[in-house]
Amino acid sequence: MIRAINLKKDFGDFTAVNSINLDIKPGEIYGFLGPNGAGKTTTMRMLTGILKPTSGNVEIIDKNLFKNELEIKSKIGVVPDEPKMYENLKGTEYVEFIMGIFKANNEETKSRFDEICEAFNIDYLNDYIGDYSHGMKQKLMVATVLMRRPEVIFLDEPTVGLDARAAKILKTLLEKYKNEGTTIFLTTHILEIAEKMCDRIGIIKDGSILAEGNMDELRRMTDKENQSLEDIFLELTGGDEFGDIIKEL
Amino acid sequence: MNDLFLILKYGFKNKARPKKKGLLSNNSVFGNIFGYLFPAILFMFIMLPFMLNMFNSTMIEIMPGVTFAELMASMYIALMSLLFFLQYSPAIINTLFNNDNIEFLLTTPVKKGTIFLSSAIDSFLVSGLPIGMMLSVIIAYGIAADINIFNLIISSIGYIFLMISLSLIAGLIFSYFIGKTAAKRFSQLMYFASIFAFVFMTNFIPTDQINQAQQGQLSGIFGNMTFLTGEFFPHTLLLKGMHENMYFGLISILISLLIIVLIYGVSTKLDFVTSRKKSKNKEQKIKLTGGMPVLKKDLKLLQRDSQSLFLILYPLLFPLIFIFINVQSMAAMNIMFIFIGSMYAAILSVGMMVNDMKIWPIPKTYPIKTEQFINNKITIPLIIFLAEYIIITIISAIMGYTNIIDYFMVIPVGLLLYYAALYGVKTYLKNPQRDTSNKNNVLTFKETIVFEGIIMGIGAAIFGLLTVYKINMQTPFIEWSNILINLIFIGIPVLFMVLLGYMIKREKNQIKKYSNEI
Repeated sequence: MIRAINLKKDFGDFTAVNSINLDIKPGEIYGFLGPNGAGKTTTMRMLTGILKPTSGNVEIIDKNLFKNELEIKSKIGVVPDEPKMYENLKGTEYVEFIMGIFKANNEETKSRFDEICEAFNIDYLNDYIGDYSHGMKQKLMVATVLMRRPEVIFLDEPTVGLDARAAKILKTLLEKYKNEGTTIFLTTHILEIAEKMCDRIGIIKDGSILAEGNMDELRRMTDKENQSLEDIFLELTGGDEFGDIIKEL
Repeated sequence: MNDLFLILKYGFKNKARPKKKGLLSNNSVFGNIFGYLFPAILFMFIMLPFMLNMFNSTMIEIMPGVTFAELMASMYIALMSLLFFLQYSPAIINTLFNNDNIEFLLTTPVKKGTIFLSSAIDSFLVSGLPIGMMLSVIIAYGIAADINIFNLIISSIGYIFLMISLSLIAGLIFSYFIGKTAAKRFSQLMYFASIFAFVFMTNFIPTDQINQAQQGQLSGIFGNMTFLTGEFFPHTLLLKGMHENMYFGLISILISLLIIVLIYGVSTKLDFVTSRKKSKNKEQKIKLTGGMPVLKKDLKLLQRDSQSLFLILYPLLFPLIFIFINVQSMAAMNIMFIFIGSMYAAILSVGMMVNDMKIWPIPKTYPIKTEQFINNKITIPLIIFLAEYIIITIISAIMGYTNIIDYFMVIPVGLLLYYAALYGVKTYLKNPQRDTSNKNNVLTFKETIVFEGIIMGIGAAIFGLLTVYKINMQTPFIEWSNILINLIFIGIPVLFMVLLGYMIKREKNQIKKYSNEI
């Protein structure tokens, strides 16, 4: 469903993503983890057609992303790391705009959107987006993606800013959609979410994938039985060397 | 004081327009300040000779002890002071509440009074237009009335300080009950009112020496207006300081400083963060509307942007004022419209680009081409300003100022406006990391000069030659053969239109190149 082949991105002399390969199956939740600046968002931006790779290729729904960009974009949903929206539009107008852009202005999408609004407590759509908090924007962003029921969903830190109830509903909905065949690509810093939700996890650092697999495979790779994802992640990314620094502080 | 300088220094660094992403020029702070003050300085120097001429020709008594020049100076200073006051006080509120850094500054150990003062200084730079015009009145009157230079300087400084402090009081009071949007609109309205006032002032001022008969008439007309020289007006302190004693100026400075200290104290009690408004209507109606979502969105955002509204109205109203005042030539209106309309078409296209760039790269996840987002920013300003030009032409035709050639002018005007909108988009895409908080000032000084140079050069070649041709058609005065006349006065404008076509193509290629990089 999502394939990245030798995907590479250079910004001048700096290589942000270094020849990574991904193969994510339909109906799979794939967690993409890494420390800050590891290359997660750059990878996601290449997978969603925001950034053009320096080299390599991306296939989504068995089609070359860069040759079928508009068709693929209409079938995927993206929740970016920052819920940026037109601040001088009202929530209702933004939803109408998204429905128009994705040619989803039909009764089915509208009634699905109403149900999502009820679940997420979205009752502020008559106000201007400029007056929303980060969490309110994030909920609206998630709702406008989920209302379309895209075949592939990309979520970059989706729970940031969400209240506990909204975060729980989102996780439940993603599980449901996954069971119905939707492919989900998720980046998060909350390792408990990744451990509980993801079928497979990829850990990236300095633009290269260090490890990939389900929890058992990751444990085998690090020779650590019964270890949590947090321990595995810290061992792989070198983040467990903070003890001495904390002492100094 | 150190805190105030730090906030201002980094505030202006933040507003600076780096050439490349992430780079801040060290020299940009003063350049940026100059960029904001430039319109005020420019207007001051443009108005100065007009004012000097007027005061020199009106230095006669119309009432005992009151010269016509003094009365005119009182009127103009009072008008400009009022405009400054009405523009500056809401601008302080707008700067304060629209400041992205305000929440950060409130977490730092900086007094609220210091934050308020930094906002006041920041706003002053963008509200200085009426002050620039007022200074031209004061300087011209000072020269015409042979005022002592020290009296002039001290009184002027005192008066400006007084106006600033009075506006600060109003700003402080308004901040309790005026919203940021209303403040921004009001401030913008006053900015344009200042420019209209400038047009009226430069057109209505008498430039000929007043004779005895006129003197009698003026006494009759303006006799009732001598109340403007009354003791209770702030500008009377200025005129007294200039004519009688510089202590009036020093008193103004002292009063202003006391007011500023008082405001510094009171502003610490201000609540700088606005609360969110909640709509009472809970029923959320989503309409299943038809196509063109990008166009609908662009038009909605345009309609809700108060600055854009004035940018749109201004090129239409400005030539219309001239039609009704004293200009009866379509050629003059053409040049005026091209100069203003093309500049504002470029600024409007930048303003529309900003709306999308603020949420970039999210639009790249939509199943539409980047060109579709960009094209609207070119076609909307083009259609708006071309429609305005057609309206001006129709009104001129009704009033009998047009000739057959004028109707063909719509082609080069359309081309110039198209080029202007393309230039705006290209310039923005070339350097999207620019300060766009004040949409009247989105292009740098250099970009504006280059752009106006191109527009005026091509405009003069096309419209200048066609106007000469038009005049020659009505009353022949060029003694060349018809072939030569047509070759020069029609051929050269056509050549320039071809050149414009080439430049349009070049701008389009550049837009394509830059849009692939965003």
